[in-house]
Amino acid sequence: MNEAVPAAGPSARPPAAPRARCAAATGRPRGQLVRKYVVIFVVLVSGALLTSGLIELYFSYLENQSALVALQREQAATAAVTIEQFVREIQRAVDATIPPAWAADVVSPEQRLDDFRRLSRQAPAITEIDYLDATGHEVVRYSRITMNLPTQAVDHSAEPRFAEARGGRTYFSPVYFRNQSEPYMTIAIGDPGAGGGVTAAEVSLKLLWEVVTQIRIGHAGYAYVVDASGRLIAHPDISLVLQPTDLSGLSQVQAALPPPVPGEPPPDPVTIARGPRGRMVLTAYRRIDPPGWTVFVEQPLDEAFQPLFWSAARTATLLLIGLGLAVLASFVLARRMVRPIQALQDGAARIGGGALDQRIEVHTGDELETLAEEFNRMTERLRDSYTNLEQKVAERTRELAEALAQLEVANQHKSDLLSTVSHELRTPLAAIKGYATALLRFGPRIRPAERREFLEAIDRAADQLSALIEDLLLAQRLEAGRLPITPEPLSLAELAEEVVAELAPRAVDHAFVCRLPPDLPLARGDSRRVRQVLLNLLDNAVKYSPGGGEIHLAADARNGDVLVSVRDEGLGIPAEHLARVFERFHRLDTNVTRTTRGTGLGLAICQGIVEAQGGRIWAESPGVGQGTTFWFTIPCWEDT
Amino acid sequence: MSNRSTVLLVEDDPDLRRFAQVTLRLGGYRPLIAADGETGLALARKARPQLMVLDLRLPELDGWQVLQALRATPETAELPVLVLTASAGPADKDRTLAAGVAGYLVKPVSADALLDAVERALARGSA
Repeated sequence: MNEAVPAAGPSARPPAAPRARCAAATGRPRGQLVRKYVVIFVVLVSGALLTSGLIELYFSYLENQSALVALQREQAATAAVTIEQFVREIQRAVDATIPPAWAADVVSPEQRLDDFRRLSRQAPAITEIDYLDATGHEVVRYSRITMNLPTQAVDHSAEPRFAEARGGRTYFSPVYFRNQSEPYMTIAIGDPGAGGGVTAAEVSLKLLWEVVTQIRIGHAGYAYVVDASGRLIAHPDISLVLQPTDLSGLSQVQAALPPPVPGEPPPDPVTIARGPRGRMVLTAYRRIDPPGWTVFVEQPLDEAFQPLFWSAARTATLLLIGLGLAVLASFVLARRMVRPIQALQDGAARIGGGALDQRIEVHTGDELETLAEEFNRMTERLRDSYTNLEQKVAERTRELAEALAQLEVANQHKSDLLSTVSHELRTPLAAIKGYATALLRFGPRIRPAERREFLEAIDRAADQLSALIEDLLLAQRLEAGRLPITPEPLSLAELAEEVVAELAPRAVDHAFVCRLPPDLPLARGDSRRVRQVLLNLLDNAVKYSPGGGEIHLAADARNGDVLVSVRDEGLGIPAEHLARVFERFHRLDTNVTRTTRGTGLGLAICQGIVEAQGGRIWAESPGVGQGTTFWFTIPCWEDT
Repeated sequence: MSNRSTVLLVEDDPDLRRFAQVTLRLGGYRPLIAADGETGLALARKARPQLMVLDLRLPELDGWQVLQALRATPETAELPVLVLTASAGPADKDRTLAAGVAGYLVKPVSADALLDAVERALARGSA
């Protein structure tokens, strides 16, 4: 059971598959070639267009991006330099107020205040400047905003501006804001030498904002500055700065924050990142050192790559147009390519269908035309051979029909012959049987004369039977070509005299007239057979001239043959029987022939013998009752 | 002698004719001889034989034509015919029997067979 089911499956399925294939093969796949070519063309053309477009797009993207980034970097650099310069100038100015170490104790607070005042004039960004002594107490204070009274009692030694700057160091404080809007920074520089005081200046960073707002990249581009910890310290949108905003989470900030390590290449700048407002941007930065800030210049990606979008749109349009053209061109080309092929295909189909008189017309001047010509030649040859074949078939059919007809005739002859032979045999046999049984039955009641007559009739009938059998055998051997003919030089004159001498006693009513020239050449034949022919013809002449008369025997040399004729003055032969007398058992139905005993084979045997010796035999008769002449030829001995 | 039946023999072969003539005579019949169909028909009308022994293969008029002519003539329409033939073909026999004959003899025939057949044909004809 289990084996039967899977066995039935595969055995049941395969017949369906070839049928489906057959159906597909007979259904004409018209236009498939066109479709194929079109697809190939379109794929090729659009592939080329697409590839070139994409490559162009990619490179222009790269170029665009690098150009933009370079521009942004340049802007960032400009901004960074401006800010750096500003910070350095402030730092230098502050530094300039600090007396050398050896003079520190000599400079009075008043003198410092003067210096500070001068400094604030030089550097308007400095709004306040203090001097803290070594203990961290304010000694000198200059402010443009508040009273210039130092808060001497307050100990500032714990503040970073004091602690970080002591000992000649410079301290930059984180940016802070005054009045909720103005960015400030403290720059503190310690007196050289240990245990010195610190000069601390409060610097308005309005410039930072100015610098940042001045930078314009396209329409939506902007710049901003973050400090060393990633906190936003300057941005065109001040509210962002005031919030405050920590940008250390942005990838570009993270990449830029670590201070460069000397001797190591800077980290790969992040060029595409998320901006402070969350939009994707193209970004570039530059460090500002001092004070360790970073300026970023960014442009939203959609704006930065706007030209690129246009370029892409252009490419896409071109691609579409190219595709359309490709389809169109490929249709035209494919049709032009396929039409002759279709013509070939149609022609081949017609020829296959038997229309051999069709020509395939393809004039493309290429291999296809050659192929069509080849096809036409093939068709012609096919047609020729077809015609030939038909002719041959017709010929063979005719020959066969003829052979069959001949065979039928021969068969009929044979059957006729058999029935004739049986009849011919039965007649003497019937005589023997009848006479013999009459003698047996009636014995002495039969008169002696009649008895003798009966016995003689029996003897005659027996002779006739044996003659008939002998003639039948001879005719059969002649027909089969198995009668041995031994050619020898013959003297017809001698033969004729012998035969006449033999017949004369039986033909008392006839006169034999022989005309045999003494210079008659020797003939080439079998003397026994020629004798048989002569005997037969002369015997017939006697038999068929019952009224007696002359029988002429003549011989002449004629065209290398000896021509012999036997003429009687007897019954003659009707014209329609002249040719048929040589057929076996052909008899003329007359009273004389009926009463004349013969085998019916004599003339057939004569013909067989004459022809076997290379001669001819024929009969002539002017008409019924006007005698008959038989002619036959034997080749001359000399000629052979 | 008055009760001797007359038998007309139509036969073209002289030997057969002679044999049949002697046999019929010695068998107690009165034989009449004709060598062809025309003579046979004339004799049949004139001599009013009781039986005709007819060969089928005859010159000019053949046996069947003779049969046809006999049947077509009122005087001879009822004459029984015994066919004596050398043609032993079944087609010939069927054709002959279909034409309505009293007997069918195939050559060669013995004197006894001939006399028996004649006797039987005559018995049927008179019955």
